[in-house]
Amino acid sequence: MERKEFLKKSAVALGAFTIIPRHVLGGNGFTAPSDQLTKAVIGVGGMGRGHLNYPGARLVAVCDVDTRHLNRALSMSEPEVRGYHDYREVLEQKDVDIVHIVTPPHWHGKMSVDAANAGKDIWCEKPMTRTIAEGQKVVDAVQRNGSIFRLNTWFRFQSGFYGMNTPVRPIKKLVENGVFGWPLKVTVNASTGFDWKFVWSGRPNLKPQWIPEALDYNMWLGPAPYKPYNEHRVHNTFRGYWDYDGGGLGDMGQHYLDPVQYFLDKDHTNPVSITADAPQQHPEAAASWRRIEMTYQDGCKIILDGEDRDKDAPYIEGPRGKLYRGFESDIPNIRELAASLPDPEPQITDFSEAVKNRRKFALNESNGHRSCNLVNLGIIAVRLGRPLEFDPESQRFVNDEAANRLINQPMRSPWHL
Amino acid sequence: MLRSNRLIPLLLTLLLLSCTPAKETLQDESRASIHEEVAGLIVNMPASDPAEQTWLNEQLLEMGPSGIRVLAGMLTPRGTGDDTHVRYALSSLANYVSGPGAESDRSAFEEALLGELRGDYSVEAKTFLLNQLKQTGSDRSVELLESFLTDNRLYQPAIEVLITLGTPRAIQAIRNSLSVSDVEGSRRIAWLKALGDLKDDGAVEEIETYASAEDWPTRRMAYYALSRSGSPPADDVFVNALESPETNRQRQREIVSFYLAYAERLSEEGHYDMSREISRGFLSVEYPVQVRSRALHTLFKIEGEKIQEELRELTLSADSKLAAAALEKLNSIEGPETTEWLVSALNKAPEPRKAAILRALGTRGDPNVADDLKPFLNGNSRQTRVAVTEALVRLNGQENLPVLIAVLNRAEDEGEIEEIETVLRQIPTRELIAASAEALPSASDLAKPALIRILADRRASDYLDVMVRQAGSESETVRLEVYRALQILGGPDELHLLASRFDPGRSEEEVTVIQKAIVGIAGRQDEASGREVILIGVWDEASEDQKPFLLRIFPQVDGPETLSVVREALNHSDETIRRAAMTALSEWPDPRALPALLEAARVADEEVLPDVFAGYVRLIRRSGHSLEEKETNLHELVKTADTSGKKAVVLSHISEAGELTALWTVSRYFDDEEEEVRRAAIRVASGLLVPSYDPDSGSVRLNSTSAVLAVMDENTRRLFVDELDRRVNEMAEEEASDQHAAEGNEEVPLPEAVYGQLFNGRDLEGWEVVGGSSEGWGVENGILYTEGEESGWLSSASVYDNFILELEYRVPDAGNSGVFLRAPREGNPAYEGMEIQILDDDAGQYAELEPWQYTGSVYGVKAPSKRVTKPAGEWQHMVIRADGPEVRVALNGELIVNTSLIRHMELTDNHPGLIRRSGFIGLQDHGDRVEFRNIVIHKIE
Repeated sequence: MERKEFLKKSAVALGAFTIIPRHVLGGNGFTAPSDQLTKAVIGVGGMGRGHLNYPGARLVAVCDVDTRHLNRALSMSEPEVRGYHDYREVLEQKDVDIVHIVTPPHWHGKMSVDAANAGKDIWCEKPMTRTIAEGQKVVDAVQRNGSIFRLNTWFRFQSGFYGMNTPVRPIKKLVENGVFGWPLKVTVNASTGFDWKFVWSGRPNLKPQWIPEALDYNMWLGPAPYKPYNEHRVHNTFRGYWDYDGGGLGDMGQHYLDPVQYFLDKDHTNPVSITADAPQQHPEAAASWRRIEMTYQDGCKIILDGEDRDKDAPYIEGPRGKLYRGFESDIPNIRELAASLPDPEPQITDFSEAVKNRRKFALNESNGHRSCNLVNLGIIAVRLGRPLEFDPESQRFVNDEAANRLINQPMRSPWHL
Repeated sequence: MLRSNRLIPLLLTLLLLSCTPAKETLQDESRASIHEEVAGLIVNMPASDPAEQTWLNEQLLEMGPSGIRVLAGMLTPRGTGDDTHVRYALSSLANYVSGPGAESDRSAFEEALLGELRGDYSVEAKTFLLNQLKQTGSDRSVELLESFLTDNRLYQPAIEVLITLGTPRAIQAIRNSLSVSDVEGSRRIAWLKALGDLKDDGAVEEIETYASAEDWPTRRMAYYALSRSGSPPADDVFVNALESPETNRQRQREIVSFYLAYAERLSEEGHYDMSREISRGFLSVEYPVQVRSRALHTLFKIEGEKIQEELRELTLSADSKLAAAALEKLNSIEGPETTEWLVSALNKAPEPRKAAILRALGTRGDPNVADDLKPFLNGNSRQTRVAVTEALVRLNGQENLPVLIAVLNRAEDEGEIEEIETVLRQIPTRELIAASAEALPSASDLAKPALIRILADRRASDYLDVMVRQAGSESETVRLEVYRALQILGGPDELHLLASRFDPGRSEEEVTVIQKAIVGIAGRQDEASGREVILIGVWDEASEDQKPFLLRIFPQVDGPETLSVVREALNHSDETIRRAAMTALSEWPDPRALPALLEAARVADEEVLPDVFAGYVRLIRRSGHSLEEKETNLHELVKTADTSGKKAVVLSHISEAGELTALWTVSRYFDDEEEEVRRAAIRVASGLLVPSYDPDSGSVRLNSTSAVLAVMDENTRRLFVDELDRRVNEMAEEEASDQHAAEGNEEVPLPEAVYGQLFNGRDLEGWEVVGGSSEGWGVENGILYTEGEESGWLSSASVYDNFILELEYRVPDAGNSGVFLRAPREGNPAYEGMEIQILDDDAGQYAELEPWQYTGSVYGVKAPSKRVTKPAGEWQHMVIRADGPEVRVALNGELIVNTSLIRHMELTDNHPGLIRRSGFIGLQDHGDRVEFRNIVIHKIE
């Protein structure tokens, strides 16, 4: 049979399996739907339970590999909400428009790609992906399938910005208009809240434990390497283990770094050199670090000052001026100056609108991937304990093949992207 | 019975003895000294900084391969010791030698690891060593890794290393293993996956054979590997798969997805024709949107502007998702042709699509189309109006400013205003404010607030008068925006205007915004006294109607002058003014207001009185006064109360003065003449002491505050303890009701387990046949038997968690049976629970079994340490002990299995029974006549 013929045939056969997202089924075929969007939440631990009530879409399904979490989420939801164990079943549900991915990060890449291939729109928790390559694949899958993707951090478009008493917009205006000159040095220190990183340390030498009956540990691990179960690896403390996340940097890093990428206008690129000062890291358990410095091609720098050594350093420092916490500056009348400058390009900050009108959300797969790269670059530098050079174009390290091996870490069979 | 009672202690002794591990002895002297040296170094790990770490790494490397060998030898399986330093050291070395410039160290390290991996280590230790190869491995490792690929326990970490290497040799090693036959599915799946991960195109024929495998997981992974190969011959497999579709929707969808991925890979490999043809096929309308969208993406990557026509058509399609995808691609094609088409499409496009096309034209940046777009500023849809504004701002916003600002007048609601305003705010300040000021007088009431906001935010002080003129607007929203502008930009000249706006007819919001504006203007004065002067100036000129509104501002402009004005106002003839003064005082931020507040407390009516008390106590708490001073101040407040009722109210406020201060102060009133006052004092004190009260002893735990108790007489103390008890009981009841609510969800408890004889020797009482006919099971001569007719399995009536099970069994030649533990009644009890194997081990047909299939094994999990079965036909004695994860099996008096299920948790994927805490005991019918007797179960306390 000729291919063209089969394609026709198979299309008919596939007709029975056709999955058309509800939101494309407008009344007369042209109007955007006025009925409400629907969502499913995958991963309903503490963070996921918060997502149940995020506004904008009606909850129709929840999913978790721990029946304790699942039952609790179901008990908090309307009676018609369905519970699932396997996220792949959720992706088969025709009445789900948006999936919220609220699992530990080692699942984010896999689930995002699968969700995009299933024609879903995606609201994913930070950090976006656990490796740089997984991030690239999410970008590719989301764009190929025309999905709308939102990463769940928000400081580039709303909320008081760390220690600044203001959202990022006036900072963006000042930077964009060259008020501080160029290049800029941005220091995020512990007093702006970054000492959160100490919360998520893992423990070496965990004793194997008997897996709780309620937890499908194998599915919880999914693409992560198999390690004997210990309760400290999962649920509230998983962030302390490299297999699943990256300690406090993984947890909070993207919150702090994403708005910096935004106001430095680096959404399309990344630093070219990364150095870390940290105690020796355990092969499995993440520990604290002291300082990470990232430098961009044009000389802009980000300093993550974990020990408050630069307590009094300005948040932003440029050749023509500085901006300190509390929006203080050596430039007179900085607030008035910021007010009088034109605003940056508008951002799409309502996810439901983005989905309905098929427009890119303010923090999407592309800029989200780039700011997540900062997290992963930091983690690799901390783990390897040596300075790294990175090529933002190819997204590979320069002259360090061993570091490149951490860019695309193999998934445990049978998982793949 | 007698025998079994004696047997248990004996058995336990046996179990204990065999638990003692054999100590490894170091035979080699030099090895011992290296061991000492290594241990001395690694105790410093984790190193505190990179320099120290480097030094330690170098020291370890200087010892050569024997240092690494010794290190590896120090690994202990997880849970059996603490080898944290060893793991730090090995991974540190792996990182160190993997760095640039350490090539020779790296090969030495790799060789040493390979040497150890050939040695006798636990699976867990080998897995750890393999993980170090991920950083340091090279083609030299491939041969050994290949030998691990068929190893049931090591194939996974080994293949991860091979994938990480990704070299041709690594790929060849995986291909080689594909031809190994008779391999359990998950290993083959892992190999297929690896070839897919590595985009291998060298084993397509081999992989194709697995695309028709019987089990879906293998088939699925073959499709994956083929899709990743990007190799043209693989096409047939997908064509066939689509010709005879899977009956399962999810599978069918996955195959389509793999085929699309295959097309993507084909184009990456330069097989454009095939990729194009497949993509075109999937672009047809029959397919779901995301399939078409994905196909379009691939097609566009190959064809670029050659598929312009299709893109144009799809841009106008009914499906918003597909249309968005098409438009994005179309818009990436440069040149005036596309621009012209987009402009022309505006007229035929369905309404929701217009917005997207307009935005696209904005991003193209051709200012010549601006005039074509302008008519859409009058569009009927809000989305279109916003989008065209956005586009025109991008194209030449400054030139079109007046018409753009005029869009605000056509907006339907505040939401639209906000969207357009956000777009306009990108325009440079000078141009924007001039145009906004010009548009303001004739703008709609909906648009005016936005224009005023823009002017104020951009600090357009030159246009202040234009804004102020709007203060007389009929629309409150407009007026509010004017006040807000004045808050930012206004000067003393505008104060009078603002004050004149105070009148009782205004909404609360308007009053608040006016007040804020006045505070804002006052706050911009350089000197603190200047602020006061300005405010008092307004006060002096204000009418009696306006004064109460002004008084509310005074606490925010606090100083000696303003305070004295407020204090005077306490005696004002107008009641509203007096009250406003009291409220102002109660909000005063400075303790200097205390005397005035006392004065207010004397004259205030019941409505304002609580505010005055609260304000006073708050200032006391914040003041830096000493305890005695605070107490004196608070007593003064109590003294202002002329009735016992008022005193009680004052006392209730005093609890806010800080624990110690409040306790000391209220304790003075424990023996007050008035009962109401005494009770109030005790209530406050007990409220403060509840957290440190111990109801059992009836006393308060000692702390600085409990000294209060010392000042009480016996009578007061009793009252005091009664009150404390009452509160504690109240709290306890609340807690109990919470707990009760939580317990309401508990499941029904399982029937209680029966211990002792499980088999009565006469009939099958206490047993049930599960999952099949009961034909085969029976009892004769005190023997429970199965005829081996492939009937169901025999299940105990109750569920057991931790127990010792004792029984005798007899199997015929080549007989096969088993004992199930912790099994549910659904599914295969050997895997949903566990099976302890019973077999005629010596039968010839069983010679080739895996070790974990012989008698006494935890089937599929743990092999017996030795074979102690008697010949077929003889009675044999088995004791099984299951205590939590610890499982032991003794056969004919010898302990042959002693394991913890925790060590086997990696098997839970296919063997979920390993994590079950409890279940039924069962006997298996495996098709042979098997007999049991003396089945006894003992409880483990």
